[in-house]
Amino acid sequence: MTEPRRPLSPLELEQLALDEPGAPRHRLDDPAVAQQVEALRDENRTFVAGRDLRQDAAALARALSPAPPRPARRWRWALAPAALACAAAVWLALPLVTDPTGRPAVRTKGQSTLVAYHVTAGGQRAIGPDTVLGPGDEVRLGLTVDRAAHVVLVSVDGRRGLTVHLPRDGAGSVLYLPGPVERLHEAFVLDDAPGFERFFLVRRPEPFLVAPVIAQVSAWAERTPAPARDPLLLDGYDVTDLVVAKTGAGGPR
Amino acid sequence: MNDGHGPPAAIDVEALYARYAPMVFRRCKALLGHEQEAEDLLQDVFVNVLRALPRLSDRGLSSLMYTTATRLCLNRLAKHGRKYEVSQGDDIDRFAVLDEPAPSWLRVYAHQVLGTVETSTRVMAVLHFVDGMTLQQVADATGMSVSGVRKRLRQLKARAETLETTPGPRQQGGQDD
Repeated sequence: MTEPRRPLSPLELEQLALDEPGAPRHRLDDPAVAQQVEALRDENRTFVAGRDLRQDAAALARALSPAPPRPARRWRWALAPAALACAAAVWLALPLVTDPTGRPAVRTKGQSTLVAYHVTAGGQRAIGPDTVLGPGDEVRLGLTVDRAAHVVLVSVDGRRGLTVHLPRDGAGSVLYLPGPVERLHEAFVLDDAPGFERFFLVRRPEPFLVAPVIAQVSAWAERTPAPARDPLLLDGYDVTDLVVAKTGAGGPR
Repeated sequence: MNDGHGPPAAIDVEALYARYAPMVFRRCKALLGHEQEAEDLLQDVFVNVLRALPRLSDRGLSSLMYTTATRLCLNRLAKHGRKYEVSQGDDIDRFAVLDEPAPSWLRVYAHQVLGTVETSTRVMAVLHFVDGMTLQQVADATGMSVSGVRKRLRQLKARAETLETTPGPRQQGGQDD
């Protein structure tokens, strides 16, 4: 006589519906369980289809961002000279930021880190400045942000072609929260475009559409004399970049 | 999301929300019995979980979302002086297959008993007695040892038995931890 099976808890059913690691997949051989799981999946799809996920994620980011501390009332006048000095500094800095030949190659307000890994049969190795890759080499990207930020990740190659790496699909930026370096799910294979692949992590505190960013980066890539090293300045966005050297045409120019 | 080992790294919040929000919403709705209240609590659950992420080890995210939703719902019910009611559709017989004898007192005394203990114990009680999770599963979900869970539930049962033999008005409202 066989032991009656323990009924699955609601959490186990949810884990099966989510296909989570550790979910009791062997129980899917029971048609009743399989039916319950399928019903949950249907419900999940309906729920997601009926929501504005971007709006939900943005509301979540707002809830997670601590409100900046307000100075006590008695200190406000004391801070006025400092505020004026800051305003003057910003005014003085503006021409540098908007100058296409401006000195800083990367404009960073917050701290973003972009890392590229060379994927080989033996594992993944962070790509350093001396690494030169070739067509067919596999690369995986990692990134981290120091505060909640909406990001888009694109790259420009030696033929001035543009690739969007993040978002994987969809028209909008992706919200990231601080943490250790996050590797993107998918690696990609380098093509035969010569010299370099340069990655740009474009970020802003608010959500934004991908299309205008692509348009600006494409226009920049078309006209800039040295896309491997010229600064990319996007008005209203912070940009962090990373160059991966490739064989052909003498490396990055 | 990360690759499954160690603490999660930076999070694609939109993807996280798309994946887990339906489950969290369903859980909140089941415990609170109101769609709008479940909607209100949805964001709180994610905020709680995302704030805890840097401290997490290998606990599964679905389990954490589910347990957090349970805790926040029970807190909310306690705050508003409401009771968690086992619905008529719940199958009391399933308790019989768990690690403990079927707690026939549960339906009658649930709110009196659960109202007098700390939130973490309430969460364990609901996961075990209502959801039918084993002690091991409750331990995994709450980050406690099996013996710790067993001890808490035994204390809860003892308290229930005391209440059962002591008729009269029950004290409402427990501690939140």
